[in-house]
Amino acid sequence: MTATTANGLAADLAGPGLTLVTGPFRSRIRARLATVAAGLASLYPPDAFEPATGFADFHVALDRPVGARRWYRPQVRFRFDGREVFRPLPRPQAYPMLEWGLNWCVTTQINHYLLFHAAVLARAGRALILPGEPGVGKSTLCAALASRGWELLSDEIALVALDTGHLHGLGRPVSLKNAAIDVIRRFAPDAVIGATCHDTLKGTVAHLRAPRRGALQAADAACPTWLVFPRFIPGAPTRLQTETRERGFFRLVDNAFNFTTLGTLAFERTTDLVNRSTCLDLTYSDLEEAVGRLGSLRAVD
Amino acid sequence: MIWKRRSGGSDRSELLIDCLARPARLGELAPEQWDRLIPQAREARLLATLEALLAEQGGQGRAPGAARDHLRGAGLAAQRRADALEWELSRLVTELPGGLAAPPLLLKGAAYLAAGLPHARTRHCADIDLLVARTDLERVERMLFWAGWQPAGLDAYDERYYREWMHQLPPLQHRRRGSTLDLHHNILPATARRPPDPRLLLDRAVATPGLPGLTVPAPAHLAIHCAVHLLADTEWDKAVRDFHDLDRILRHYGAHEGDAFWQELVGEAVRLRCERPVDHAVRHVQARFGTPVPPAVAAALARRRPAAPVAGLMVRAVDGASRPCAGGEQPRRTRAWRALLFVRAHWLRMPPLLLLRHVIHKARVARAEGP
Repeated sequence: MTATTANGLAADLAGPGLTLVTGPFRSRIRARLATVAAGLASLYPPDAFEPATGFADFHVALDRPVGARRWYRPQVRFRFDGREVFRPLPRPQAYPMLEWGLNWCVTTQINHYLLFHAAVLARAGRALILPGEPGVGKSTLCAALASRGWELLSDEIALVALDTGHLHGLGRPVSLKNAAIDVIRRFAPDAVIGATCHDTLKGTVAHLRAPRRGALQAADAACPTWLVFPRFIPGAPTRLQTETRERGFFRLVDNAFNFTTLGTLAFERTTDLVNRSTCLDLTYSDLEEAVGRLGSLRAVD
Repeated sequence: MIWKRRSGGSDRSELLIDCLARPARLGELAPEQWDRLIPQAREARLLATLEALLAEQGGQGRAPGAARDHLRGAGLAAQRRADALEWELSRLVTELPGGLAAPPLLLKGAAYLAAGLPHARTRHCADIDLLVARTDLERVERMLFWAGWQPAGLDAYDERYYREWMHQLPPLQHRRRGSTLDLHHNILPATARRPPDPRLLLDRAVATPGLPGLTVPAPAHLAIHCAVHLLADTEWDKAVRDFHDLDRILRHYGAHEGDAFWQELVGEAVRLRCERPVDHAVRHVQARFGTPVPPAVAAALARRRPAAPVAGLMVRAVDGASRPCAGGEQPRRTRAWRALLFVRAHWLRMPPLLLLRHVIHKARVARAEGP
């Protein structure tokens, strides 16, 4: 059994490493940085941590660079399979770098799922898919829905199983940026939000711990039911309109990670997903109203 | 640090090479071994190859599900890439001019696929390599330009580097399809110590039934180019894949064409003045992959081998550099060997003064771009 206090995690991370189990993936993490241990302890449930044994999908390490930047304006580097895959970042951004790095692992190394840039939530085994580029208010909406009874599957990456077409949970925290951090604090006062990190490439970021169990077990998956394209427009009235399947298809493909890599198979899976879903377009500015409208969606079979 | 003796197959770095040499092992690996094997295969771009080998062994049921998922994903991507490459070649046939001195010759991955080598469909191949006669070069480049193949934005120095000193033009990219094509006029740089005569390859090229107007190298030339490219190259993280190619080529033609193939391999290596790289590479696959090479062939190739200390160092360097960094035992040592071979490759590629100039230029560029 692996210790799950920040101190216990720090010892494991600095020593043999530990395995973070999120959704279907096991990530082997090593890091000698207290902020990383603290971040993990505050944002994941205790049973997400396992000892560093057996097979892991990804091997990542966060460490101090060699040379002057170890001490002078200290930096942190992220390594995947021993290879540095990003430019180093300022040391205080170590934890967000781990979360971004783990997303990078999934989106660049995984081809046994069809992957979309989308938030995914579920209710009674039915999935709500919210595709969108950064900045459309997808994470904020996702965090808000997750704190009002929807099960959080994923904030950034939709995992579509190639054989069943079902959506699988990624079991990771929601990444909140800038104003969204306070919006969610007000919207859900009980929400557990980790340390705030300023001046990153994406501005100020903080992560919201998945409410409840969050990570659906790999075995449970949700059936694609609603495909909603959200857009936050300041001052706009809440509007939830039907989107055609054709446009829905193309808008979804615009947000795919490995559509071309998987070719025909991806085309068939995407068509199937769109055909099984009600396609909608959502513009909103009032979070409460948007959450209410999505909450009243009914599945049409 | 104490110099540890190599302990044969039990060394962690050897896992990938061992599994390629003896695919039956794939059915017997523990989860901890898969945990090292997947990163090693990922680094060498051999995940899809492992999937095919595992399937041939009927060992899918004995590998952990998560490891199999990675192989499956890579296999799906490889299948799609092979289809795309075949389609790309079918387009290329229509885009090349007729009436050339010699039909353009496919090299490396595209050639393996067009030649029908069994391992080609799962092999990772990023671009198409095409060799044309020097006299045809300008015409082919112009025709391809009008068909949409354009240089992928280089500065004046890189342009000159390719055009004057190298054996290929700056990489071309198709305007709409996004695919990349390297147009070669030789298999080694014009500035290399011992450049081979590319006409020898074009003269013995073999027609490809499905692709009129394109040819593939004769079997011996496929093997020789694989070896030459491997040792002149600087991408040692993919060396295991290239050695695996050589192993597959030698096994395939050794089994199908027997002595005729082996004799031609020795004869052509001499004619192309490539005995040394061929000797290094063949010796390596024989030792590491267990490739069956007739003793007489190995002895004939060894004739131009350098003096024992140099030859020994080369064996150690090739062995060290082709070990994986990911999931390997001593990534630092591997990197050091890779650096040594990188220097060697450049040394053989250009005369000293030109090399000095090249190094200074690259250092200034790196500094200007800065981290």
